[in-house]
Amino acid sequence: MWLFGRSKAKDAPSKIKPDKLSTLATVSNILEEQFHMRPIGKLGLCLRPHSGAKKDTSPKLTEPDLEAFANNALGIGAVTSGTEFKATQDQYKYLWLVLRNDDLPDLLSAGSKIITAIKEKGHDANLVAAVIPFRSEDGKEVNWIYELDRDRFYPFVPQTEPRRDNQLEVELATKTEKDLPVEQQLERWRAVWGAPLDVI
Amino acid sequence: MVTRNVPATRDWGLTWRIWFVMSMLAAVYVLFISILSALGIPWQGVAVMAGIMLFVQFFFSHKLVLWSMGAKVVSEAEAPKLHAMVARLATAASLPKPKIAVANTDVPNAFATGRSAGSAVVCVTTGIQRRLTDDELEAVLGHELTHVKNKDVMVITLASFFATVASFLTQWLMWASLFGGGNRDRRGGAGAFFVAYIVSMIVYFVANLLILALSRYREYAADRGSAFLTRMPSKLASALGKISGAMARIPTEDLRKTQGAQAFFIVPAIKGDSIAELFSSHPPTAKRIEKLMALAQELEH
Repeated sequence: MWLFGRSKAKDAPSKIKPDKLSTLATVSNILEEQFHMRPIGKLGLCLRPHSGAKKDTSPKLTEPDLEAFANNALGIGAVTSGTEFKATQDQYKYLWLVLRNDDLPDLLSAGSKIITAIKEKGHDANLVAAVIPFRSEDGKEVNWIYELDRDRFYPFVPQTEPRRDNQLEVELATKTEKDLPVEQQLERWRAVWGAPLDVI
Repeated sequence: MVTRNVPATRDWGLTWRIWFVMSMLAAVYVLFISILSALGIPWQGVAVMAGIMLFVQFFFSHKLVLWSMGAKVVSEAEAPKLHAMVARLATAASLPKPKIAVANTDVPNAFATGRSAGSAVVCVTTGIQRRLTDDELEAVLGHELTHVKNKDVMVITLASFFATVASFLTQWLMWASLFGGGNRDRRGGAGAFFVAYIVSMIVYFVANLLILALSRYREYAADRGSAFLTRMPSKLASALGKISGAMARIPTEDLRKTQGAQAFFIVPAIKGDSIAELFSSHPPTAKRIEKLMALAQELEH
């Protein structure tokens, strides 16, 4: 698929696909009933500052850019639907826009709106992933990683770095794949250690 | 050593199967050489060539394998935990302590190489260290040390000798029967070359099946050896579960570190079935785990 490079986002007629981020809400029942897991009410959107394309001359993205995108995308609705947000940077110099809303469907739809806004601005190639953490009754942290390029989800259950609970991850994937577009290529289930979701 | 409560360290069924396969191999090879001689094929030159190749392989393959894996021999200061584990196991197996190498790859694996106990190298990947607990890693190292103790590199190299001869012959005979250069006046002529070509192909095929079977039996033997060295067969079973099949394919590396590396993802392997099993150098993990769990029970009583 990438043999001939990425599409030229700016020249190509924009065909922005609606993403499948919101489908995560459809499995929240399964997660609650079978795994006793609930969302912690946050979503982290991860972007790289540069698109990575060789001929990319656009200025690199900054935290204020992201907050501006979010403001544009959510507008007044952000206040009414109660989504808060804040941008930050991590140890890899990647940018994060962290959203907070205790209502999962609202949180996901806010995330979707922002993703669409970022794509409309021609920054598709900067988008990496969204991280939606859940927590189980016994305090176990389970992250759903939504890879934007692939439009698919996979679970990431960190133990002490670099260990992860592969058994639980596989179980989560098999129990949810009927309703959720789960990444089938396990080699792609890459970890996201220490996402800076505590900024908000 | 008190022998009571210690189960027989030999699995007679397994020992018998190993000898049976080796005898079959020997029979195939003897038959092969007789046919070649009867056909008047000058096989001795090819055998010398194969001998040289295997000799080189025998003496240098461990360097080649380590090099191709990008593995580095590590000192005691660099990897104290690994060294302590291997030292303990080597003592228990009455082996000299082998060198230890680490390959920097997320793919979980371990292997032993070297022609003798004195030149053995045990190699683990960083991926296996990340995924396994200390007990599980020790059980895996026990498996590799048993390979060293059983001289499996030598056994398989020797077993492969005539298969290599057969493979050389098929190539040479194909050209010889096509161009038939200068050999037409010889006994048999082109017809004999063709028959020898077919026989070589069959021998190559059958010998490889037998060698693979032998290799699988030696894997079982190494599993068993690990169980007796570490007294923890269930740990090897859980290690196998973690490093094979679906879970081994899940990376531990960070998404942000591997960005741009998408092109290097390897297409997942074909799912195993009984045909694949026949052509595999390792037994199916499920069967290995089953045997290890049975051993665990045996060791408890």
